[in-house]
Amino acid sequence: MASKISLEQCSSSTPTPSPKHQKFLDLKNQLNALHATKEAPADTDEWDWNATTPVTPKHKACIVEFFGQKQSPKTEAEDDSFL
Amino acid sequence: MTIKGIKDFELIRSLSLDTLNKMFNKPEQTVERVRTVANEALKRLPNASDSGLFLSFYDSVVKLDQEFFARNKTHPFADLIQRMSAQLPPEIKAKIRKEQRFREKLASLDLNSPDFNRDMQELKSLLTDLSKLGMLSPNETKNYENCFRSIQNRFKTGVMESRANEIVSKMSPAFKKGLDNAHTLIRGIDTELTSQMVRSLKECSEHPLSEMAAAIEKKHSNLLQHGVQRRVECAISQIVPQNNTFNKTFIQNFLRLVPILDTFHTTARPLFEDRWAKTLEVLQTQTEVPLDPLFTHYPNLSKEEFIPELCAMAELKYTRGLTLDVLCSPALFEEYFKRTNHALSEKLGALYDANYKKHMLDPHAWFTSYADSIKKPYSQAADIHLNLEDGTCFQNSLDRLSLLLKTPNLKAENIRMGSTQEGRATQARVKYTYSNAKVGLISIEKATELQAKSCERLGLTLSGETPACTTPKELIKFLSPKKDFLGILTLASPEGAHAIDVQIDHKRKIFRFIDDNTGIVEMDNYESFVTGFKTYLESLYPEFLAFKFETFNRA
Repeated sequence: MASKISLEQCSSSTPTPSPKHQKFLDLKNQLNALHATKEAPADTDEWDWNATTPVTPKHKACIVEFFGQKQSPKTEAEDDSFL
Repeated sequence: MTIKGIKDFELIRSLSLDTLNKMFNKPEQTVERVRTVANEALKRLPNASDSGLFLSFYDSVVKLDQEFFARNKTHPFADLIQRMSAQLPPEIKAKIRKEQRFREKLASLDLNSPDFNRDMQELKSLLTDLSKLGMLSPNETKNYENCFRSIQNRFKTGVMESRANEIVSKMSPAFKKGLDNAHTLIRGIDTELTSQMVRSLKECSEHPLSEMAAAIEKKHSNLLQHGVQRRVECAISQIVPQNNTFNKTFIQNFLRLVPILDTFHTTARPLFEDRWAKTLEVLQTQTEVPLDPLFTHYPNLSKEEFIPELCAMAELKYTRGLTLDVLCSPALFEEYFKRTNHALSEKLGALYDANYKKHMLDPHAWFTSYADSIKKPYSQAADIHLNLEDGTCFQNSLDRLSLLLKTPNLKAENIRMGSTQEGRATQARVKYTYSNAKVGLISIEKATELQAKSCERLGLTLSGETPACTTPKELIKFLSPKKDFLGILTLASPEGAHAIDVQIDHKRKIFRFIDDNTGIVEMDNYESFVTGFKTYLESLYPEFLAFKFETFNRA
């Protein structure tokens, strides 16, 4: 392979924005305004809440016995016991 | 005298069998009256002034005959109908033949017949004809279509039921095992449901078409619901004893979950599609280039990819708090969906907006603003016949660079996009080399060296390179308003790498870049190119951390 040369910087500043670039910037602002929902942010707790009513330990134990818990190595044995 | 004047003609034409039986005291009298009126109408037909009325009377007799059959399995007007139909205009006869054929096919439908699929095809085609002839309303046609679809799919687990299975399986490995273990039994249930549906079709094949449509819709939706229940019961029976306190509640809630998911998706998808359409309307006001067809070239910019992904994400959020505790308690289940369904449209709208801004806004703004600069749209992701799993962008860029070194003024329409056979083979070798480096069979330096040498297949050698820049802004400082440039931009992110051809030829006024994810993009002048290219990289590759130009010479 022939020896390669290092390319050098040729300009120090960004050229003046073109009309298309200006359109791009304006359109970004317009789209941002169009998609600016304020009424219910997507990642509030509303979407992520767990069951709010407390479950009694007895109820919980019965459910675990019935269906097994979420997948985890700990529950494998319990799951097998119901098959 | 016209047929209008025949006594009882209007009564028979407009009243139901029950009313006629009441009016004429008993069914035998009804049969006699109808036969008398029909014979009279037939006698006068050649001079009848209103054949439309005769046709309407004919329809009434057919309907009465079907009602008689539905009650006591006799066709008291079969001979009359035959004689009357012989007098009908050819187009009406054609309608009758279609309907008869449809009924015959339904009555003889056999799941075990080798011709079953062909028979179903014919039934669907006859259904389309009957609908076009106005013999069935759009709703009635849909009822038949849904039923036929279920029969052809053998009543397999529906889409929303599968979603519910998946959601519950994530909570309970025991339920998943139950589903797997019950696989054969569940197939048996599906077959039984299919047989029941076919039997119902056969049983009501003599009924009036509209009545039949209503009857099969009822039976079909019952069987669908029944199917969900039987399948979930079957899965549960694999893991717990029957009549356990919890399984009844669980099954009831599971049965509610399936339509809840259905309603959720029929709310979410149209809402997302509506937002997308509104955005596209705004974008379209900014360019004369039709954007919908342009975006279809790019799977990652199209709604076909964005909206299903968003639906899946929304469903995940919608069911995130759903636990076995909730599924095993009617009160918790009720409360959970009351909470999650509260202001659902606003939540979905906010989810759409957040994801649109994150993934689509910048690319959409760029593609719209520079739409007329895209001279040849192309996407390697959409080019399923000429692409390898992880893309072949570097080899493709080398192929095009080799071409442009020979013929710099090649027009966009003459530059071939996509990979060559040699390019794909080389890329496969490069990938294999890197996989060896990953497991320590060779060093990573050796693998990189072999990749760099892949330009030798085209008789090229690496002649120059810039240092790795961390931003596009830094990178474009290596381009000059006075010097020409022809090379490849390589860019890297933690997830992968990419390559793009760049050509600046001041004398020939060529200012373009060629990207396997976008196509050939040409600008009118150097200034427009530099800002356009910089914003392109920032908008399309925001996660990339290293940018470097490389130039090549012929060896």
